[in-house]
Amino acid sequence: MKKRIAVNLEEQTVQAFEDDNQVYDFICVSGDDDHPTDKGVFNIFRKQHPYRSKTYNVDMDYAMFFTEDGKALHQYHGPVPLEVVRAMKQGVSEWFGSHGCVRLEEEAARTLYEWAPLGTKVTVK
Amino acid sequence: MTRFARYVIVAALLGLFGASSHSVGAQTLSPGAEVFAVDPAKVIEVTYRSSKMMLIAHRWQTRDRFTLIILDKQNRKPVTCLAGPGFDVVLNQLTSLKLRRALNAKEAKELLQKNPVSLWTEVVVRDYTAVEPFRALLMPVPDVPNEAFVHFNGVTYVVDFADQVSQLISSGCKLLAAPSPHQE
Repeated sequence: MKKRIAVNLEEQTVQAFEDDNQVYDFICVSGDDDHPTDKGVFNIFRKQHPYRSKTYNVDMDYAMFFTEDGKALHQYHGPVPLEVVRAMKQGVSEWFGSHGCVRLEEEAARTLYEWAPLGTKVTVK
Repeated sequence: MTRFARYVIVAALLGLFGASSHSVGAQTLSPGAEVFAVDPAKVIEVTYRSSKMMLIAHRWQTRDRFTLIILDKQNRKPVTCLAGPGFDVVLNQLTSLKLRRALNAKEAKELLQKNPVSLWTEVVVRDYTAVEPFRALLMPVPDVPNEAFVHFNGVTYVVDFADQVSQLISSGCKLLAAPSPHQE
C-alpha cells in the first residue's frame, strides 16, 4: 500500500491517499503571497511533535517537514479558527497565509502525523 | 487591499476570537507513533553527551562516512575513528524515537526534580537542511529494559530505546568503528 499526500493550493485542502483510495480530506491554510508554499513533489524527511521554531518563535506541533528550507505540514496554533483564516485567504486576500508551511486544524494535523511515515510523497499543486 | 485595511480586519478577528483558548497540541500521540524521526541519510551530525563521556559524529556531506570523536572522562585523550555498522545501529535508534507513553505534567515535574539535567544525556541530531536540529534530554527508564525517557520542547515521553545502543556508545570506537582494512 502506497501512501501519499496531495496539497491543493487553490482549494486549500490536504488529501491523503492509500494507493488510489482517498482516506482523509482536510482543510488547510498555505503560504501567503510573500512566502508561497513551493509547488512540486517532495517527501517527508523529518517528523517531530511537539516542535517549536526558534527562528520564527512559533509552535509547529505535529510537524512533518517536506522541503529542505523548512516548510512543513503542521498544526495551526492561531487564535482565529483556521476555517475563518482560510475563508479570508480565499475570499479577501492572499495575505492571510502562512510563511510557506501548510497549516492544519489540530485533529487533522495529529491524524496525518500518525498516518504518514517518513518518505511519504507530498505533492503540492 | 491596503495594509491598513488588513490590520483592521485582523484586529476585528482577534477581537472576535482572541478570547478563545489557544490550542497547543494538548492531545498526545498514540503508542508506536514517532515523536521524532528524521531520514538518517540526511543527518550530518550527532552529539551524545552524558556525565561520563561524549560522542560526536560528524560528516561534511551525506555521501561521506561519519567520523567519530569520543571524549571519555576517564581518558582525557580524544579517540577518533571512522564509523562502522555499530554506529548505524546508534544512528537508526536516535533518528526514530517511538512513543510508549507520554508523562503527564505531574509525572514529568517529579521526574525532572528527582533527576536534574546533569544526570540526563544530551542528544543533538542535525541534518543538512535548514530545519533546526533536534535537541533532547535522554535517560534510561530504571529497571525497565529497552525504554528511555526523552524530554524536549517541554514534553516528556517514554520511548522505545534499545539497551544495545547505550552499550555500543559506551564502548566508543571499539564497537562503533568500521573494521580496519586488515580485518575486512
